[in-house]
Amino acid sequence: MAFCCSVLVADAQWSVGVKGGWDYTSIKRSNAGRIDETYSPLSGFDVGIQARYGFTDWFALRADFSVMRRSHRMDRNLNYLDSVYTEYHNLYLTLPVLADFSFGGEHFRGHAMLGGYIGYWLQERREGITYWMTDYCYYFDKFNERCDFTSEDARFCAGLVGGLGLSYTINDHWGINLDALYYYDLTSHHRSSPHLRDPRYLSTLSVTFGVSYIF
Amino acid sequence: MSPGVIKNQNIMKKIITIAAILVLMGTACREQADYMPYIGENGQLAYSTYTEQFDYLWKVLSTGYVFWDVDTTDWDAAYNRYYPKFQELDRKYEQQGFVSTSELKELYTGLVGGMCDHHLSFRVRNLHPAPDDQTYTVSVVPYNLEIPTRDYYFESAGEENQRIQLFLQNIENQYTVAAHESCVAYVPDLGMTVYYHYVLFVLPDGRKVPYLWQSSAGIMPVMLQNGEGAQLLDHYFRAIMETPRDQLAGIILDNRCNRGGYQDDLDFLIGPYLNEQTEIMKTRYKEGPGRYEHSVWTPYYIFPNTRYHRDITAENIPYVILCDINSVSMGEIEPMTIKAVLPTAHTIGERTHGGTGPLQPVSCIDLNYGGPFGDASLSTSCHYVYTSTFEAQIGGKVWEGIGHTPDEIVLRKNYDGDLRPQLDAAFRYIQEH
Repeated sequence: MAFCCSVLVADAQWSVGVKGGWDYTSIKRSNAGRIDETYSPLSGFDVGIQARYGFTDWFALRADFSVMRRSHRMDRNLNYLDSVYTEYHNLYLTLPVLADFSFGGEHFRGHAMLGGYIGYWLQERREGITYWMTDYCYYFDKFNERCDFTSEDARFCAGLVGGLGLSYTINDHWGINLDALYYYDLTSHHRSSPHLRDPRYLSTLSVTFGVSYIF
Repeated sequence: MSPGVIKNQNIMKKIITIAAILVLMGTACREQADYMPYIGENGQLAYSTYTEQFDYLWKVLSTGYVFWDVDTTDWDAAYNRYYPKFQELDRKYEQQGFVSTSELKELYTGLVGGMCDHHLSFRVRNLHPAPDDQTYTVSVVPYNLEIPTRDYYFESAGEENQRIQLFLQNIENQYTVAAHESCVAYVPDLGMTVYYHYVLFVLPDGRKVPYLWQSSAGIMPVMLQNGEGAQLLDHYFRAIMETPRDQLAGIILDNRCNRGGYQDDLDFLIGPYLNEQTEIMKTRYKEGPGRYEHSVWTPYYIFPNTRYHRDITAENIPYVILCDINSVSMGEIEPMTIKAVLPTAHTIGERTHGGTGPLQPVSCIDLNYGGPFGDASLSTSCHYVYTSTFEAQIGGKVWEGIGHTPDEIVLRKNYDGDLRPQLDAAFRYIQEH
C-alpha cells in the first residue's frame, strides 16, 4: 500500500488552465397536450477554468468550473402563428468532476473522461417572436429579455458527464487540450405538480479548447 | 502486441463498460412525464367516471388557467382534498345508480369557488343525475360568490341595467340637455344587444358636456353596421371633436353596468385622443403547461384614430369615466386603460367587478392553450369552462378579481341606489377643472 502511494505521489502532476468553446443543448420534454409546439436544440457557449491532478501517467482527476449557455427553442406550427418562436437561453454555472483516463505518447495523448456534475441555473433570457391579439387582428412582436425565475424553476441541477479529449504537451509547463464532453442532466429543471409530472431534462454536448499550465 | 498496448486496451474496455452502465442508469433515472390532456379536446368524452371527470378538469385548469401567479388557490392541495371525495361519488354511483346534482355541485363549488378569475363560469354535466334532479348541469360562478361579500355591494346591484336606462330616459327632467338620443343595436357575433344613450349636457355656465352610456362594449361592430347606433355614436364623437374649446367643458363616458364586449372599442375611446401609437397595457398567454409558464409580457398598442381626433391632453379637456360594481370586463378595462394613458382622465364611482383578462372564443384554444374550453351546450362534451384567455397587466399590475378603484369613490349604496350622485360628481369635477 505504501509502495502504491509513493508511486502515485511520484507521478502526481497538477495542471490548471482556462477553456472555452461551443456547446449544443437539446431538451427532453413532453409536448404536454400542446399540439403545435416543437422543441429543438440550440447552440451556446462554454467558458471556464479547468484543473487536473494526474495520479499516474494514465489516470487523473479533473474538475472544471464553467459558465455554460444551455439554450433550446420552441416553435409554433399553426399556419397563422408559424412565425412565433421562443429561444430559451439558460446560463448555468457548472462544476463537473471527471475521472480522466489517458493513453498515447509523451506529448500527444488521448483522454476518456467520465464523471458527474452539479450546476446552478444563473439566468434565463428569452428571445423570439410573440403575438398579441385584438378582436380582429394579430400583431407580432420581437422580444429579447431576461426573465424572472418562478417556484417552478429548479435551479440546481446534477447529472452525468463523459467524453473524449486530445491533449498536447508543448513543453514542461504548457499544454493544450481539445475536449468533447456530453452533459446529461438527471434532474429536471422544471418543478411540476406531483399530480401532473412534467419533467424536462437538458443534455449538452460541449466542445472546448483549453490551455493549461503544468506545475 | 506490446504489454503497454494490451494494458491500454483493457483500460478502455473497462471505461466503456462503466460508461455504458452509467448511461443506462442515467436514462433510467430520468422521470417520465404524465399524460396531459389536450385542452382543446371537445369531440369526445375524456372521462367516464366522476373521478376521471374531476381529474381531467383539474389537469386542464392546471395547465391552461392564466392566473396562477395571482390566484391564491392551492391547486395541489385541492387535488389531495377532492380526489378521494370524487372517488366516494363513484362508489356511491355503483351502489345506488345515481349521484345528486346538488352533491356534485357542492364539491365543484369547493374546488373552483374561490378562484380569482372574475370571468370564470364553470359548468359540468352530472354523468348520472338522480331521478328527481331538476337539472344535470352543475354551474359554479366564483364571482357570484365573491362580489356580494364586498362592503359596498347593495341588494339590487344585479338589476341596475334597467334602472340606469329608466334614469336616462327621463334625463331631460333632471338636467339641462341640448341633445339626447338613444338606440338599441344588436351585435350578432357575440349575440349581444347594446343600449346607447348619447346626451349633450349643458352646464349652468352654458358650456357643453358630451356624454355616452353604453350597456356593453360594442362600438366597433356597431360602427361597422352603419345603422342607427353608428349615427348616435358619430354624433357623440363629433360633439367632442367639433365643439370649440371654450364651449366644451369636458367629456363623460358612463360605463356603469357595462357588461363588456369588444377590445377594439379602445380604438374609439382612446384612439381619437392619441397623437402616436401608445402602449395601453400588456398581455400574455400560456406558453407551456406549467402554472407559471407564460409568454413574455407583450405591449398592447392603440393607434391614433384617423376618423376622429382631438388632442384633449394639449387642450386640457377633462375626460371623466363613470364605473361601478357592475362594470365588467371591457366595461372596466376601458376606465383602467383610459386612466393609465390619458392625463386628463378621471374615474368616478365604485370599484369595478374585477374581470380584466381578455377572452377569445373556444375556437381560439389552439392559439393560446388557455381560455374557454369545452362545449357550452354540454352536448359534445360534459364540461364547459368560460375563463380568461390572456392575463392583462394595466399600470404595471394584474387586477384580476380586484378591478379598478376609481379616483373618486362615490358609492350608490350610500344613496339608496340613486344614480345621480355619481353623475353629479362628474359634473362637479369637470366644472372644477
